[in-house]
Amino acid sequence: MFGRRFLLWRLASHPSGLVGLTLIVLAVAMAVFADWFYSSGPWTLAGPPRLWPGQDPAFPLGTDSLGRDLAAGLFHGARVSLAVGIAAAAVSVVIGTVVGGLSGYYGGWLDDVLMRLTDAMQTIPSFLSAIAIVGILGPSLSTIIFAIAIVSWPMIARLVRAEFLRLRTYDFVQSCKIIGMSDMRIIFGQILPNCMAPIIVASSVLVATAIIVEASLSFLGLGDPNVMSWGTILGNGRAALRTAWYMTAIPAVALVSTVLALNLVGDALNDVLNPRLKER
Amino acid sequence: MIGLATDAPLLKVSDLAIEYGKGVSLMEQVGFSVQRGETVGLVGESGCGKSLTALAVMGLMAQNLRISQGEIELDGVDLVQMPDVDLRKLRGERMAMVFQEPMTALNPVMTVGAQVVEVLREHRRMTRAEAARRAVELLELVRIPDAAARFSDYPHRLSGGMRQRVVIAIAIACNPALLIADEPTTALDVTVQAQILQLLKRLQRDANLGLLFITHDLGVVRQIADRIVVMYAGSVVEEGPVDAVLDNPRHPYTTGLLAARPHGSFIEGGHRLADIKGTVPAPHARPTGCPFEPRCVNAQPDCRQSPPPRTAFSGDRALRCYHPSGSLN
Amino acid sequence: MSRVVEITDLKVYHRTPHGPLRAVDGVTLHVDSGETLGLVGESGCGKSTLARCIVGINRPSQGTIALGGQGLGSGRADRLSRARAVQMVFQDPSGSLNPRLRVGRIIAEPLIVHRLGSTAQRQVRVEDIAAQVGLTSHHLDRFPHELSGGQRQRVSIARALALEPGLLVCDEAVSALDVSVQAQVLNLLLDVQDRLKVALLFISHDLSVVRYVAHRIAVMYLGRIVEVGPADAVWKRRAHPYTRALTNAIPDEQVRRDNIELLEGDVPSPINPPSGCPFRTRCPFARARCAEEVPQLRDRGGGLSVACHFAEEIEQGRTAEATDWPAAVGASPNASLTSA
Repeated sequence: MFGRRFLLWRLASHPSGLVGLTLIVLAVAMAVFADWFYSSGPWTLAGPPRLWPGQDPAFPLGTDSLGRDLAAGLFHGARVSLAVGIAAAAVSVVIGTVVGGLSGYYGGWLDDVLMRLTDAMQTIPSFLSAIAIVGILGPSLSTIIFAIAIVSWPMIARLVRAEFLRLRTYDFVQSCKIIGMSDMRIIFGQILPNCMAPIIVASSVLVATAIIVEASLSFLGLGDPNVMSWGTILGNGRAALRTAWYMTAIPAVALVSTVLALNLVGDALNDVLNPRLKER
Repeated sequence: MIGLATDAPLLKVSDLAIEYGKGVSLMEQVGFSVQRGETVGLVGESGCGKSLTALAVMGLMAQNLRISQGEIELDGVDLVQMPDVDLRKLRGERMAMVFQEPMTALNPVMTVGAQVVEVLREHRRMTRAEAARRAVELLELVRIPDAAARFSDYPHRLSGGMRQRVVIAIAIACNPALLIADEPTTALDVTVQAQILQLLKRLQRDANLGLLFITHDLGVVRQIADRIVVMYAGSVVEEGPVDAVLDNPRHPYTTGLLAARPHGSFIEGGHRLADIKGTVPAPHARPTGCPFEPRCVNAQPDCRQSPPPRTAFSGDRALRCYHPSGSLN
Repeated sequence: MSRVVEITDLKVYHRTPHGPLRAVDGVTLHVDSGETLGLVGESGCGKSTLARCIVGINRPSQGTIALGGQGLGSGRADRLSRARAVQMVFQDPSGSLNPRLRVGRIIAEPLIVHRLGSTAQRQVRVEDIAAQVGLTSHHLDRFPHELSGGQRQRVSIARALALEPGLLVCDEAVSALDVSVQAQVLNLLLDVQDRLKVALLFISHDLSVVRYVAHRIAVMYLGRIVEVGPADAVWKRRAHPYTRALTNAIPDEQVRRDNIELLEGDVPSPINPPSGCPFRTRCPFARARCAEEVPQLRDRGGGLSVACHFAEEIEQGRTAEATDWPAAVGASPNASLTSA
């Protein structure tokens, strides 16, 4: 694949790519080293409740109403938020790519059926249907991932279909048919690698959206009660919003900067992967 | 037509050099002239700089390119130094251009009539009705059958040949003195190409146009041009009256191009085409000496030293070659 | 002589909102093994659709195509055996190669799909084919965009030859190339044919290129074959008025010709073709009969078949002139001429 080895390097030399990448590396580091820094986990009642940040050097970000360390919550929450975001995005990219690829490649009645299905999915307000799915299946990490993926694949499907419609007319696809290659190999081995660029760009945005949806669900109390995500911390802080606003502000900053970082990286990827656009 | 040599030429390009980015030379020392009523065929393969020359004359070069040297004079006035505002006034008015792809040269959401009217009203004080009348005349002039009815058609309703006629009508709307046609028949079928060539020839004769006709096809040049300018890798390698050059080519590149055209039958005669080995070098990889040297059959060690100078010789011809083919006569 | 492809009464109709588009309208044609059949016609005449039917990308509406004596469907096994019978080289050398794959992989692809040889054997075979088309091993590590147009076309030809097909369909294979490179590729095709005895269906809009490479020429107009026969006979006898118009319109680099006979107008729409003879709307010789009756291909002797009611008259009235072509120019008695 072209320049895959240099992709990170090229991203880092792009201004918004560098900012985004730094923030993401930070968030990932928090997730990876959560156990190392806060081995007792985010749920431990570590100290006195409602400690403001800076009040006690042992709790640099303060504690919540139950005395849990907010910094520990933030580190462990990064794990959950990022994992849910990436997993949900991955599932929807897989569904979207298969649907969009088959639809765009074969056209005809299959395209009609799959695209009407996609249209139908898109008309349902995505957050409401995520709430409904979690409500029915019960709040667990896997249902939340499933719920987010189910509402976000149509965007990828449309994108992939458009790329396939364009690429399938290329003679290199015809020549694959002429040498007798099977359709599945043409779709996944020949055409798909050529539309990776827009898929990669779209999935960075998708990860961001998924993180927000998960946070919103948790904020509303529909998150997995057994794990601490940034949304859970937000939700916990809601009751004390007026007296101890830092409890919501701290996870909110983490969320906003991660989402922003993902969008910045998306923009940078777009420039890096489509250099032709930049020249004009 | 060539007899008007005493007059100052309509278009005179001299010593033109164009650079890309930080000093990658795209063309060097390009010079030729077009007289009133004369057709000059600018010939060469892709990447030789022929289209770039046209864009430079029209002042339509991409922004990352710049003219680093030389003059482009229209009626004795230098266009290189001219401010954009004045240049814009000249375009359409004194010089106009016909492009290769008639579909993209026309606006798909405007009727063909409206597009001719627009050009007329841009450059001439005309009422809408006057412009419309003139537009129909122009469409008739380019032999569009039933011009009044075609006036309100959209471009996609017309065939490729008809579209190119509309593009030509727009180009000649304000009676320019110089018409630049950049591969105007390349996208067309051969029978339609013949029609368009004939049309251009007639328009050129009637209006005493100076026509700069750019093409890769030596056959087309023979049919339409009075003089031929052969370009290769950013420089003019041979020029002269079209019959003299094509009957007795001196530059090995011109000779090679003529020999590479399929003629006769391999099956009957068994002769292979004389191809030119290798490919055109990219601008940044051009040799220091003669640009054609790596592909040339006559190449000698001195060809690698420096690019050959332009040498004029009898019969109004000129050449850039140390070891030309054929003989002087 | 055996036939690598035999097409019988092939029709390809596309549905459009304005009625069926008759891209190919009853074509019967064959290619003998080892020969070159040149198929010439202007854009929209159906020559590319015909080619795509032969290689199996387009499905015919009616009629049959027998490859190497057998008719083939669209199933997996048929797709594979079709691939071994016929391959294709496309016009646009940049669009016909996957930009993400290296040249070596592109040439190996047919061998991989057909599970021919081990990886090492395939490597040897790829280098061998590459050498046959004038590519060296350092080209094999390149991506298509790193090659010139002519080199890319060589890669296309190499890929097409990998399965050693009996027929190679070249659809405008040299049209996008510069003259000097075009000559290289034409020479290569002729070499390859000589060495591998592969038959060529050489499709082009350029009659002079077709004449150069072909043993036989078929002229297509609006979905039909209007003339077919030995290349020399088609070129010199010019028995069909459309063939005459095509030869007339070729810009000749040797002589400047003023006042040539020109065809009026454009090719009619294949959605609403003229009644009777498809060429009658542009034909200088058209008469009442042409509007009523579709001319069928008739044997005119010497292997030449012409679909024109008045082929005899046209050919006889013209034979004297045809010999000293291309200088010959003249007005015909009942022709509508445009002149400069």
